Amino acid sequence: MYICMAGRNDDPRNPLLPGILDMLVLRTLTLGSLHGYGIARHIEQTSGDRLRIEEGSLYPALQRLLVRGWVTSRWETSSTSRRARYYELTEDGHRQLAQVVSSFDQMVAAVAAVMQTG
Amino acid sequence: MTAILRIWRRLLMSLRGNRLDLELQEEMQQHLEYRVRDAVNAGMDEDEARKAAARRLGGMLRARESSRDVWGLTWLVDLVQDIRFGTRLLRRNPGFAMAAVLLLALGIGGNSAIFGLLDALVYRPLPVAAPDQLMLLGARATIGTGFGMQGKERTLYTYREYQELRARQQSFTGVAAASEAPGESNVRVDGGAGSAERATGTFVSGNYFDVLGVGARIGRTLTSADDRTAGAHPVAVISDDYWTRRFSRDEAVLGRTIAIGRASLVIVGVAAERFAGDHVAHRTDFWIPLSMQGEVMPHQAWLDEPMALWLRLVGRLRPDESIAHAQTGVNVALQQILADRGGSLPTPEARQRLLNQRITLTSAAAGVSSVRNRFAGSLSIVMGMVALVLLLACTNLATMMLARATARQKELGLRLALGASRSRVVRQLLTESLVLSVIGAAAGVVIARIGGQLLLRMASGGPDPIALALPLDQRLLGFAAALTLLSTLLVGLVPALSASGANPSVVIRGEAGTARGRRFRLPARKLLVSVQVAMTLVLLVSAGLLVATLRNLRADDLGFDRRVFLVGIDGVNSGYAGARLLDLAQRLTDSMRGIGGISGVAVSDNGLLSNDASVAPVTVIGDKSRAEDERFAAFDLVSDGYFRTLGVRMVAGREFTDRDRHGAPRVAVVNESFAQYYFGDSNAIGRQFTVAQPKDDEAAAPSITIVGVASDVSNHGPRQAQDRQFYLSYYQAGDMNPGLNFQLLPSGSAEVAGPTVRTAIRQIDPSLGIESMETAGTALERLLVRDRLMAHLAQAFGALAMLLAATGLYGVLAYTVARRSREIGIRMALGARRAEIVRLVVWDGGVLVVAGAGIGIPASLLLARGLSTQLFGLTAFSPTILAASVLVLLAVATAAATLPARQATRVDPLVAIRSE
Repeated sequence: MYICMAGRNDDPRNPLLPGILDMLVLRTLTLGSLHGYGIARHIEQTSGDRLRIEEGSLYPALQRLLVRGWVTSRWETSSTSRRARYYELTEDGHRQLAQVVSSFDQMVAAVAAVMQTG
Repeated sequence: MTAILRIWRRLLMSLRGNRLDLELQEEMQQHLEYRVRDAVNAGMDEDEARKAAARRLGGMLRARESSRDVWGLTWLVDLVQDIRFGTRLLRRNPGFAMAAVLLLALGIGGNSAIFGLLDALVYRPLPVAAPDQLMLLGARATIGTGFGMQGKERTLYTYREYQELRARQQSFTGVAAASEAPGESNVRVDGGAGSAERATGTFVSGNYFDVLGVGARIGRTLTSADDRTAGAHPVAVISDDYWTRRFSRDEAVLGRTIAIGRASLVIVGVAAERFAGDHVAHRTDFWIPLSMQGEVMPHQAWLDEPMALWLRLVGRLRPDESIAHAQTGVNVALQQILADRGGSLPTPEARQRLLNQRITLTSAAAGVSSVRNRFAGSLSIVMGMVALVLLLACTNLATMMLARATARQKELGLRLALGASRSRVVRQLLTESLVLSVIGAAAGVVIARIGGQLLLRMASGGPDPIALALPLDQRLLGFAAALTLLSTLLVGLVPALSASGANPSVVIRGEAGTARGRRFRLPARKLLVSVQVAMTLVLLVSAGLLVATLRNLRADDLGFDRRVFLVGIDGVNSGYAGARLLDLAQRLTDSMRGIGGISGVAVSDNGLLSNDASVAPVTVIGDKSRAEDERFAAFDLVSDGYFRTLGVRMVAGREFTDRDRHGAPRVAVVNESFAQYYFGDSNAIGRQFTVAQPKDDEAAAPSITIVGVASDVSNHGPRQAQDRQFYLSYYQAGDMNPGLNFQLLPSGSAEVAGPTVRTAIRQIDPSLGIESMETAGTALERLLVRDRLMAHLAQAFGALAMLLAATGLYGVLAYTVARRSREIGIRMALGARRAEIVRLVVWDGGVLVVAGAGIGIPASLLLARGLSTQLFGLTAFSPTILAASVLVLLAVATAAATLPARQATRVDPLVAIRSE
């Protein structure tokens, strides 16, 4: 299964995806602070390359999380003296993750229930 | 809380605007680098990896925009950017910017000035509590004092009627009374020493401030207790304005006195700051309790006088009361009061006439105002005219912006090609217009202030200066802001849409300025110019009509000699009454007749061209057929030689002589209208009629014999309809205490000198107050203030419109010539003469003007009908004025076309043909 999460936030084809993407990002960041590319690579790798994260959805999602205050960011200079922006989960973000996961589980159960009938 | 934090973060981020973008750029660049590195590590060739990454560039750009959009305030960042860009553009084109700002300032400022006046005079509610609850007991605001009886619609009341109405009504929480008396009077501040000053006082009931809901700034306002006993409450409340003007805002003003008439009033309070009474645009300096009327105006006891209609009544409705219900209640109360009084009347007809009276309630939220009655209609018309001027200014600007849009096509086309959305470009162009409009509006507000004050001063210029505050309040600013937005749209929308609609590829290829781009813009400009011509025509016709009206008003034959010098003297308040008053009149007449250069002196009760009038019911003996209302006729008391002095022609019979005195048979002179109405073509001399004197009843009224018929005189100026009028001999006045209004006719061409008249009066009695002194011509001009103002304003607007339309026409023609220079060059090379080239240009311009006139002529006819209330001596449909306006327009258009035409003839054919 290959789900391409490209396109804009308000893409009518995939209305649920932005929320799921946020959840994935938050989960990724529980493992430590990462820059944008790192987050995308981690999700891709852990999903066994079944999820492909495009810049067009990743960076708006990161900005959304910044607006809501669930993550913070800082610029760090790497060893090669190049700057990269690292994102970190906040306390609020930790709390939100549990809530978002719970909502997702409920949604999955609901979808499954519908698919099982008839 | 989280929502607030979110908004806070958004605001902070938007302030960093640019940095956000740069950071995102850097971040994504880094992202790309990482991608390349990983691809290389996985074995891809570096060049290939970089190419693959570069292909993702478009996605990155979109990602950047989406990321920025998350913060939601991109519109704000864009706006700031556009404003900065717009101001930079204006600074680089100072000529255009100045012209545009000037135009907008005139348009927005002019409109705001008129709106400010209209608002202050007509719409603004009084600065009182809950003004919507205030009701005037009367169908309209009658400003003044009457004696005798009113007609059907009651607007003025006696003191007794006020007390009874107040006691019997249930729909109001309170009913207050106010009067125009004593008006502008001689007063002495702080006692008898020192010279008399002029100040304006108003009698009001004790509960006046309470009913209106106005408090005191210092001290107290009047209370009901101040009405209890006649003459026993010598107090006054002064206005904030008077306190500032006369007492320099001295906090220790309480306890000082104002001496007026026989009374010495103690100042007990200063009214709240913005309150200036319920008579709008009339300066009230101090308020006096009704109970003091007899003391302030000795010799005129109105509190007990059943004929003195000196009070207007204002009531505050109960919150749960409806107007209809209150009106019924008030009329029931009135009927009860009148029924009680009617018992004393002798005839059933008189009783019936009494009971036919009624009270109509009208809103008093904006108070009453004589200035409003005079000017409201004209101001609305001026508002329409000045709105046209604003439209003209905006269309001129719009054509200018359309012209610039052509010049900026390359720049805008490039932006569109680089991915800017059309709405973004339109937004940018509109913001430029907004910047212009805002600057123009700022200048316009200044113009509005100055203009408003100027107009007020021009409209005053009489004995009653218009006291109207024109504050720069939120209503005015809100109006100016609305106009700013409107003009932004008018000026900017069409050029913005047209400029952003350019096909980018066409523009970049450099083919802008050929077919496609122009296909819309030039016709648009031509249409705008035609519309301008139409609007100019409307304004020219209006100006023509108003100027003609003024001329007609000035030239109207009023029936008397305009050289007559008018002097109004106050005798009653100096203690003259009855026989002494008549004797004084005689002595003054003799004294004034002795002045060199005077060929005639006459005295009358009502002054010529004043606001005073008397009416009385007339019953012609031997004719009972007339309906009740038509029995009233105007009358005046005049002395011997009155008609000769005024230069009024005697149609039949004689004037009054020194034999028409007390004890002699009562005689009258009637005017032609009177004679025509009652007697048709038959002789009026010798016929008799009676006048029901206010005090006597009809049965005992003496019969009056007509001894003369005079030609009609327009007592109140050109606009007053010819009334039925009769004259009685001044010296048979009995105890009516007539006014002392003198008419002096100068001999030859010399003018009457005011100071000599003043000396003659002083010789008789230095204490007499001189109320007015001017020639009939000056008095007439004062009556015509409004018409003069309208004519001047209309001319100014017409001139401005012509200038604007001429500029617009010139612009379009100059552009056409430039565009067609190749064609002109070819024509000249083929042998066309200069005259033909000129005809080419003139034809272009002529088409526009004719098209404009085509719209403008029917528009003028339609809109001129709105002027009909102002016109005199002509109707709105005046072919002469229309033709004259069109001719003026053609002349101006020709002037505007000269320069472009000349430039066309100067085209060098060789240069023109060669240029691409």
